[in-house]
Amino acid sequence: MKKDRKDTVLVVGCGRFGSTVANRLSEKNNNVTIIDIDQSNFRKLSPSYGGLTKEGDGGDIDVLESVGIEKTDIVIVATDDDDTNIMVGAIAKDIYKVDEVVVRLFDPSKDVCLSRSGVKVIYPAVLSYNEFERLAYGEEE
Amino acid sequence: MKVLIVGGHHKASFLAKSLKDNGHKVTVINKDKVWVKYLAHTHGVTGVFGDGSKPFILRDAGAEEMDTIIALSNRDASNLVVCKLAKKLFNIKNTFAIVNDPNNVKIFKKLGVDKVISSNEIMSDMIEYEVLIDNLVNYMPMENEKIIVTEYIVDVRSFVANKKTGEIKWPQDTVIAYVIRDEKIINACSVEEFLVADRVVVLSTKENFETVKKLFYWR
Repeated sequence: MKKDRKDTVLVVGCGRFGSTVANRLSEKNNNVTIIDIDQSNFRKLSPSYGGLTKEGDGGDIDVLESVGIEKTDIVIVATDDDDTNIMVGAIAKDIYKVDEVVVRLFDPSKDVCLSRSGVKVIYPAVLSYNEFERLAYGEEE
Repeated sequence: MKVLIVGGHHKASFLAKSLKDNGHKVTVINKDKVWVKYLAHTHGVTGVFGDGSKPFILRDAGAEEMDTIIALSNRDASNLVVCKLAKKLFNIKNTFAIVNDPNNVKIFKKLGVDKVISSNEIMSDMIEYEVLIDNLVNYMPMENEKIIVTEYIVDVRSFVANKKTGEIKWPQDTVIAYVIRDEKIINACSVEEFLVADRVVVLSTKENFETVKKLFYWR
């Protein structure tokens, strides 16, 4: 994590990845808000999670505005649907001009949707492969 | 024109038929295997089975040759992705998306979709219009639309139904011209009350049109 800066962070999607990000960033004293359409997913947050939760559709700008997306420093989008992730990422960057937008996409072939938009993308498949290569072949190349 | 329709059930069917009838070359993409076959068969269009928000499916459907793409699925996010892929990957000039959330009309336009329509909004407008013309049968603007002549049919649910003409509060500058009852013209002066199925011809100013409409309306 960079510096000791305290960021306002919005996490969209409380799955394994989203909840992990929210827990860790909250532990580091950032102001975290997490959105999920299903309230029962908030069980994945750790008991020490000190941020806010918001039940709602992350693809709905009324919901995004209600948690103050325009004043957010970092948005992380990780719902289970790539299309929703692309939409929310594009909205955060192009409409609300959020500084740092990171989106998780399962399907690398959809990356063109966010090319040249300034949105950063995480591909679990690519990351897993890189890790596999490191584990199986060692770090020397 | 070459048109690609992505997703949608009955909307896709009606649109495919209508575009085809107007001489366009139509291709449909649909996740529903049976429906693709049905569309291709019934309307004589090219059918491609698959998820149209995936680049390789769009490529299979010949997206790079298309002039227009229409995203009709019931998921707004998916329609946005279809239009973005169409623009960025296949250089399709006209992108068109249907959305459920009316907020998304403005947003999708900002995000680069050329035309966006909220199907829910249009449907409610249409229904309202259909309901309205049920008892507003004639609408004739006069004097540069400053004066409106309207003919209403009194419905059993209308506010004025079975009310004495005197007890109705008409807005200013409103004239009841005449009433047609049982195919006979009755001078408004001799009408005591409005009966169901009366046809009433009203002159009003444009400002008062809505107020008059409400008197004959039932909401």
